[in-house]
Amino acid sequence: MNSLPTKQPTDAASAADDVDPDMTPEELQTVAEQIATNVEAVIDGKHEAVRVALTVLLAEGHLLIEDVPGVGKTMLAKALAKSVDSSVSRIQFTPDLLPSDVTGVSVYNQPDRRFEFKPGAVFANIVIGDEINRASPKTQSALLECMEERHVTVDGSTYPLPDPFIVIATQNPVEMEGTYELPEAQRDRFMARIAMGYPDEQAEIEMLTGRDTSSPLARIGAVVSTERLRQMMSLARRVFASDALKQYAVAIAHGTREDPDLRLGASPRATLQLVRAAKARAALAGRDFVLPDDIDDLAIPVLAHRLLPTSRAMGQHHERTAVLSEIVARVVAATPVPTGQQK
Amino acid sequence: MAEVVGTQHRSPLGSWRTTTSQTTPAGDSRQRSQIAADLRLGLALSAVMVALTVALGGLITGAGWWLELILVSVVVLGVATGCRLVRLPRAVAPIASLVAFVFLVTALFAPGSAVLGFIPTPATATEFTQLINQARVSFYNQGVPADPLPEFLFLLVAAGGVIAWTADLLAVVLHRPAFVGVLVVAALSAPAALLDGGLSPLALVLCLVAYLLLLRADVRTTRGAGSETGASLAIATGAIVVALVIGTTAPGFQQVGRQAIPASGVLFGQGVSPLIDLGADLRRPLPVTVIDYTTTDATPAYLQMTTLDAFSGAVWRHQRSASTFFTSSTSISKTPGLTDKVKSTKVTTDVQVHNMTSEWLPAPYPVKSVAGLNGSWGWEQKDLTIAGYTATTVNQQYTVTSRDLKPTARQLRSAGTNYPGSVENDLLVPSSSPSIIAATARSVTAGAKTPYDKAVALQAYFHDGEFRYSLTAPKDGGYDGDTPGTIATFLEQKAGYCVHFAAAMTFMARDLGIPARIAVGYLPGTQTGVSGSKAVYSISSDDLHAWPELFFPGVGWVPFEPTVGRGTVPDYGTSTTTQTQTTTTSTATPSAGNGLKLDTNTPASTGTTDDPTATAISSSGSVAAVVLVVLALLLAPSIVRRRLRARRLASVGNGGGKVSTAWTELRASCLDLGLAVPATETPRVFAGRLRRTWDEAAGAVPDADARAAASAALDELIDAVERDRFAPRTGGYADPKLADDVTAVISAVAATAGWARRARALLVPVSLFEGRMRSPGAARFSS
Repeated sequence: MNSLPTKQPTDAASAADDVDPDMTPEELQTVAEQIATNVEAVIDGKHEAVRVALTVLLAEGHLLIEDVPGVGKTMLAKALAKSVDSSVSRIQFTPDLLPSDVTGVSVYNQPDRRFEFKPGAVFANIVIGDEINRASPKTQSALLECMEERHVTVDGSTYPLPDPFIVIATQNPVEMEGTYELPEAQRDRFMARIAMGYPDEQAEIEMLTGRDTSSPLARIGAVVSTERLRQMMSLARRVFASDALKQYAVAIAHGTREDPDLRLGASPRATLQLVRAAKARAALAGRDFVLPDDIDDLAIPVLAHRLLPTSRAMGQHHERTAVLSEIVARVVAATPVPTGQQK
Repeated sequence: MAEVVGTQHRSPLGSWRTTTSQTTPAGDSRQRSQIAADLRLGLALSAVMVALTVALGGLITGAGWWLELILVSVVVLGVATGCRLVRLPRAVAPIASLVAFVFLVTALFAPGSAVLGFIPTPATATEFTQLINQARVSFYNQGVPADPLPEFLFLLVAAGGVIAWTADLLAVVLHRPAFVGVLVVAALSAPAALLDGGLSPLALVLCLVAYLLLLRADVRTTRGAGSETGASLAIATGAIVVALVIGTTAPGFQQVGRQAIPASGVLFGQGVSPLIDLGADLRRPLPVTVIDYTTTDATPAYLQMTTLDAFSGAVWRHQRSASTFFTSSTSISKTPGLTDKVKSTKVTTDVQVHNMTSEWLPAPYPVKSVAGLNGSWGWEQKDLTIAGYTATTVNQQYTVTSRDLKPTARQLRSAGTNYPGSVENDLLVPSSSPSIIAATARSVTAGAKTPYDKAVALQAYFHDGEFRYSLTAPKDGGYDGDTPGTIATFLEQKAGYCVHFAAAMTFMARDLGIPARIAVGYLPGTQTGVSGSKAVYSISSDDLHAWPELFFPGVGWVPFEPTVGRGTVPDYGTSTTTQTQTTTTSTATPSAGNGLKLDTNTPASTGTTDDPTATAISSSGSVAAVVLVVLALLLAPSIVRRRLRARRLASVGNGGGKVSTAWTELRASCLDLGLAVPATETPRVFAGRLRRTWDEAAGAVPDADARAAASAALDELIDAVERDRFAPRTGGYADPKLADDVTAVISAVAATAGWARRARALLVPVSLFEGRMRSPGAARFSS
């Protein structure tokens, strides 16, 4: 709604980034709109999920898509990856998948008489980790380590991952058969978790029509280059977050830590990622500053998957996601919105 | 929407697993906060009950009743609150507390008739009925403070329990705690009317504080709902105003209250109670036969029940004196003041009382003996009142032997003023009586030398043609009563019924130094036939009557009949020897040399300039002052709020004010109009809600242009406030245009709010009371 000033105020966190004079907020919005349209051509009626996915992409975070099989988790991940002209790899996690399959392996090169590093599937701009919770914990942690460190260390050598590096993982609800639940420390590395939910009747009918002839994925192509995406990310990082807003984010995190229904509250990393995601969302809205509304909208996707409810709060409920979402909503609703800047 | 309140509390009671419905974490905390709210309301209600018991302080002697009252209140409220704390269904609490109340009252007052000492049986109901009947009888026999008789304790405890239960029902079940104020005022009216000096200010303040505490507890419970807050505040303001008015006009309140309370409280059937009820009884639309009797007297005398001889400052009462058992063998030989010189004949009267309940036995004066009474009775020496200890008159059949006194005018005239000490109290007049009574008495009796001549002159004054009998005029004219003030009005209006005539003559006689009292009883009624040598008479409820009795040494108490058109003027009262044709213009010379007159008896006109009109003016002046003060108090918040808004908008409009000022004003105005403005809501969400108020408003107001203008103004405001708060800038942001934006938005919201909310916003601007307008709890995610 607001036009951004041409000269961006410099945020401390983004001081090191090079500023591309060609990328304007309007362009960012346009491109983001194109990506959203592209993805929604494949996934019908999931506007909010797509929007959060786009936010996470822009914030250079990792996205966890959790839902029952067959609702389009992988489709969303693929569509998002395909919209960006970048290297994409897809790992189907299975119980027998080895860590080296993910990170890569050093093999002996007979002619050169030395070890040579064969990069694993993780060496790509966008990595789709399908059914991540079906892999063994060992393999899971190999991927999750890469996500945090953004490089791979094999046999004492460190290999940096491409920039940008984004993991879009899908998983089935933990209550399903043959799954290993991600430990909370590893869930914490995903910026946001979204659920797809079942499509509504109309969207499902349209899907049937569209799928008759060909896979919808084949119809879409890349709408943004890696370079462009990097510029967008840089611009999103430079969105201004006022002190009052940071207070608000911290107050919400504190609220989760003190909530009697939670065993584990939000980590400082969660607060950081909440503000970072909020910046991306503000940028998507064409704003150069974050509003509490951005925080409110993102609180559930960004915070809920990191929290642990008390067994009391869970009770006879099996839908942990629903319980946690409700708790987060309650905490947010109880946190007063700051009334002014503290400068 | 108070779900978040008290999320830090963990209930010690009730595991959440006990609930079978879908318990979500939010729901769980909602229940916990509900418990906190219930507890708060329960405690506040208890505080109200304690304050009420403090107000009842002087009614009954001792402290035992106080403990019982507190006990019943605590049990009723405790059971109700307890039921809610352990999360029984909401409907259980009032039922359980009612049951507990009944058990407790049974255990306290009728354990003998109850199963296990507390489960009531039909016999318990009988016992309770007896207690109530007993209380009726004891009511007039007791002064204030009364002895802690079981029947009084029963009434008090039962009333306390009912009040506590009703208050709980109103405040918690119906969510209308403000109406508890009505209960409090009703409960306070009893001590206010009965206590000398009215309610103690401490009790008033305590009740007010407890009531405000209750409202506060409720506001906390329903926070976010501006309308509830507003209503509570409005009623609280009203309650304060009422308390102020009562406090300021306490004397008047006492006078009105004192006559009203004993009257309405104890009038049953066709029974008799002091003067005020008498009027009410006489105005009964359908008279019924209350007594049939046969008498040997050719001209039957009035059937006297009792005398009202003590004017307590506000109401005529029967001053109870020591009474002794009265049985069929009792023969009263001594009539007060009477000597053998007065001729008398023996009269036998067979009385059948029908549907009339009173503890006073109707009998011709002076009674010698009564045969055939059921129950236990006692009699008082000073006026021969026969009162039931455990019995009432209803359906009694008895035979009275009495004497028909025939004093002569000469005897009365020569009686002198050598009054015995026993009638000194019958000379007392209230020090505050208006001077018109004494002045009229003196002007009427100017020229009369002896007390008897004066009495006859007084009686003649009422029969001189100017006075008329009217049951309705005093009530319509607002002077129905027996206080000096109302009697003064009666003397001016010259219309009333027996109560006024009797009270007026009694006051005037006392002013003249003649001992006087009011007798209450029945006129002889109408003759319906003859039975042997006896005449048969029938008395209807219309024949209820009051008349003055004056004391003459050697003759005793002599009845007079000032009431126009009722009863018969006695022979001795028609003497024309010294009857003065009085005119109200004749100058009064105070009767001098009345050595017996007591100090308190000094005619009001001698020492004071107590002009009734001046009193009226000064009292109406004070009423006007009170009204003005009340109005000022009522309007004060409105004025303060308007000034505040004008100042804020002016400062924004001239560029000196910041965006935050404009935003604060917008929120305050919305709060006044009954919209919730939770601090947990972002400006954008709040704006969305505001926009919906006019987007979804039906009807033509506001019109499309106004809606569009308001929407545009709201956009500007939101943009400004978001930038002011969260955009990268330093220093406050000001825009003079925002003042107009605020005005546009507020008028659009007000247009959709309806007149009631607008009026409340004007008169009770709750934003003044809400402090920082914090109202957390509106769940933004729920919508």
